[in-house]
Amino acid sequence: MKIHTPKYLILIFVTYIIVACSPKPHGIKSLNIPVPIYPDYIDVTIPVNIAPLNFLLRNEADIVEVKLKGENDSLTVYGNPKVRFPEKAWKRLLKAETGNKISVQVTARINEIWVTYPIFYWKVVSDKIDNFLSYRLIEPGYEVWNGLQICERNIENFDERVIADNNQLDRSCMNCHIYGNQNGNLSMFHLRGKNGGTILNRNGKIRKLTLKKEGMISPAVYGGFHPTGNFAVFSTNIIIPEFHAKGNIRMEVYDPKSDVVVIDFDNNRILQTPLLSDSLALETFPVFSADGKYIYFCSAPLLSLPDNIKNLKYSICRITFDADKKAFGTTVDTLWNARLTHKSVCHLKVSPDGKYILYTVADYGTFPIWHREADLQLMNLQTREVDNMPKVNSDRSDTYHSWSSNSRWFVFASKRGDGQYGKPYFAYVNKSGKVDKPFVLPQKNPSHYDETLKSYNIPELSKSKLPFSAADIENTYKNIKAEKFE
Amino acid sequence: MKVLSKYIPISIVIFCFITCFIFFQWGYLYHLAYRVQTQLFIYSSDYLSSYFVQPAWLACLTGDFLTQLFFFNYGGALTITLSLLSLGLLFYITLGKFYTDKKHNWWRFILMLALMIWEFLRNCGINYELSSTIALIGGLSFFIIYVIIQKKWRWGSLLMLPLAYWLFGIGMWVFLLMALFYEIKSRHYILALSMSIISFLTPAFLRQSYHLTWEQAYEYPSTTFIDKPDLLLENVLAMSIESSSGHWAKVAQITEQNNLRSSLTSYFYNLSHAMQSSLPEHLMNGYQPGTLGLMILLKPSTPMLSIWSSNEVWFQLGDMTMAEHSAILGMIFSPKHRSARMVMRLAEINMINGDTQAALKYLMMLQKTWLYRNWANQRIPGKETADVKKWLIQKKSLIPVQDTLRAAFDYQRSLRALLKSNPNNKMAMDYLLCYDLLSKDIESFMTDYDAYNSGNLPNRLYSEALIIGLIKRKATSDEVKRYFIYEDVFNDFSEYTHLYEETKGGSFLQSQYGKTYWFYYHFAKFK
Repeated sequence: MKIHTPKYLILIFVTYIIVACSPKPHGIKSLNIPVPIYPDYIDVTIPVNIAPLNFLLRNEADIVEVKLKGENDSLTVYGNPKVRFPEKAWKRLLKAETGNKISVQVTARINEIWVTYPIFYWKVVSDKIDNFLSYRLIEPGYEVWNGLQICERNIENFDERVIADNNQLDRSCMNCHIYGNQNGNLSMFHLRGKNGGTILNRNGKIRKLTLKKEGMISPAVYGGFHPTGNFAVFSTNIIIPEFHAKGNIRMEVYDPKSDVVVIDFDNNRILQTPLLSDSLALETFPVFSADGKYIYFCSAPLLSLPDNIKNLKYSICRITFDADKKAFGTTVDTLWNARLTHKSVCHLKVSPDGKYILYTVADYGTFPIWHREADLQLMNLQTREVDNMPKVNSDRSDTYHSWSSNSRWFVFASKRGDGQYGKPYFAYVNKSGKVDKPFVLPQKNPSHYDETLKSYNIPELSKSKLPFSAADIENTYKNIKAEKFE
Repeated sequence: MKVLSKYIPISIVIFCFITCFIFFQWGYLYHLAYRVQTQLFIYSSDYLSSYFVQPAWLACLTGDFLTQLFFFNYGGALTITLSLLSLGLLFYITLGKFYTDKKHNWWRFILMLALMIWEFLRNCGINYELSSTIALIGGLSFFIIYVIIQKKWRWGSLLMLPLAYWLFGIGMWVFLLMALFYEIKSRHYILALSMSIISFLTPAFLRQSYHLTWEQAYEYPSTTFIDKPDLLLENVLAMSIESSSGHWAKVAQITEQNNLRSSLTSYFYNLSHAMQSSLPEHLMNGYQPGTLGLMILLKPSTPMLSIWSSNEVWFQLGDMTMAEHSAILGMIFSPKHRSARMVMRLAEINMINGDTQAALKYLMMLQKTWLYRNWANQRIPGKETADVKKWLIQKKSLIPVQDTLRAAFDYQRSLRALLKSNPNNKMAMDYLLCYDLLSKDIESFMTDYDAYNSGNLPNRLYSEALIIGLIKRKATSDEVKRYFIYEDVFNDFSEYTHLYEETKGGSFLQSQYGKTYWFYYHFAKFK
């Protein structure tokens, strides 16, 4: 006779054995120092749909007990010293505690002595973050590259897929992948190399475009979509990378020339205005406003470079754009004046609700990723009030940000910690515009950031999955001719 | 006769074993050192799981694990020799499945030797990985398992082929080849055909999930079909590896003994003499391809070994920005984008810059390795050994305190920035002056000499160049006197000029003055 044992009984038995065999804390000594967890997830605000915030203890602990306690649910896990939360139990806990705070108590055994650290909290908010994140994985070499990948990560779990790998693309350089309207059905990135072009994805239809015409100083570089998806605004830049002599400042990139153009995807046309291609001014990092009626961009007076690099300071400007008439306005407004602030601004991103503009501020220049002082600022476009976001910024470069479609979250690349490798951090903007302490993209293995030699470059959020794969990009690169623009 | 036929093959195998061991241990050791330095085997689940994103994960994991043994004296030669022996013996055994008659043993033996020699030659390639040899061993092992199980489950081979690809990559082809012979011999033509189709389809189907090119998909993890020993390259690797250990006298000796003529060997020649404070004294004694022998220009077309070696000169000069840039490129152009040597260098650079957290990033990675754990432990900020602390003080004294911006290829600006911060940086001064001289930029030489070496007694090289510079400047005798040039240099210059005017060059002038700067200035041509 065959005996059938229900699977769940086996599971219960195995769980029982594991739990029973885990040494239980006893004779616990309370410590009054912050718990040395990595990544720093102490007192952060998290969305209800985030993947488990796995962490590790940076000390000699050999066993760790973590008790998560909310008003309605609780969870206890053990680690050694890596702590990994089971995904199902984690999701259940976050769902049950939406709008509440979860207390996190960490107890650890160090040299046979059990110690417990002060409790910290995770505030769970119902405002979801867009569940897909794209980024470029690149070693921080920048001037010369070798292996590059653009990846898409589902941040509700740990699934990651490669959407372009330059191993299959003649090792060509691939630039930042950006979305329009935080939607996977509208995105683009520049693919350089002999068969390269700008890869445009509109509802899964992939096009390869040569975004350059006679008279432009370079092909399209930095840019953003118009909310209709029919246009995009781009800068065209001559980019010069140079190196600082002082070792811990590293690299500087500047543009001795730059202009702004608008691309009409439906008619294969490039639109220009003298106001955005002034030979005595440098215009860069353009984006459309949420309603598409303005182009925001950075502008600085032309200087002799690199000698005057420390005087190169960009302001935030805007000009109107009429999508129906395909016409630019006739005046340029300055929203944030570098002459008054003595700082330089770059990477403008308008929130999808049109209320805020998020940007990076550095002491000078246009390429802040190696500027330790580079911080994010948030401007309320209605009141022009500027928030320096002290909870968000660090003593290393904080830049390259992108909004979630509900305007309640943004992601940015921060070099906090090692100063070399950018990592994506998420910050919550509450209804009154206050921004909470950010947290890094959780990984299945909490020591992942310790061991990776790749930077997470240009993180961008999207509410839906991209409709193409690396195979589609390889095919487009090799077999599709780039469309010309005029 | 029987005794002979038994002992001759054994003797040949022993002979091959010893020859192979001797070759790799005493003739090709730096290739093996390079192979271990261009990987970074970390004992962590994240790193180990990265093997699954490529085919042949078992071959690669085993190969990379065993490559760590190359770090130890005799370890590399012994590991490769034993791997080749295992491959040969396994092949001999598998051939026994076809040739059961003893009279075929010699054929089996010859084929075994041929395979071992082929794999030996492939192992001579600079970027060849032990994983390729393991993949072949894996493929043969699969065939042996197949022969055992095929009587009961013949069609199971069709499942074994993708499995072989997953575990051993190219090993699948070895398995297929042996299985085809086996099945065709047994007249199982349909099975043989099915196996071939499955084998050809497997890489095609899996290619996109591994993000490989077609070529990579069909030959992973192998990088080459055939290779040969390159003793010239062995010498270059010797220079590179000995320089990273600070054995400058040995590097200089290798460059001088071998009379190698390439930009990279000149780079090591110049660097080794500069590190012994004698660059100007030796500059004209070696092959100088213009300024290319002083610094390595980094661009995508620069050979990997040059990129890999390029940080050394910047590191020794004290320019940590350029050293870091070069070291990162050295790492990302390593075969698997990882290099223990480069990670160690990056840790050192950040320690010198005082960037503790950046240094810790690399040191913590090294702490998770078998080979470099102790090295890292000695350098953990706050726990440095006395020797490390002493070394740090010396290295920190060289780094620039004033900032300036320069292009990666603007060497003169970089060297001047070093000298502005630290006028006592003799190596930077010699590199700057020698750079001026090798580029025949006498005007810059005179300006730089006045700025950084004025008042010192000039060595022979600088004296020769100063004479040219002073003539160009139409200097007065009072001006000339300020440079303290020895009388015999002036006399030699008169004789050189006389001979030059008489012969317009020629072998006599070369034999007498071929190693003077005057001769270089007159006759060296930039290609």
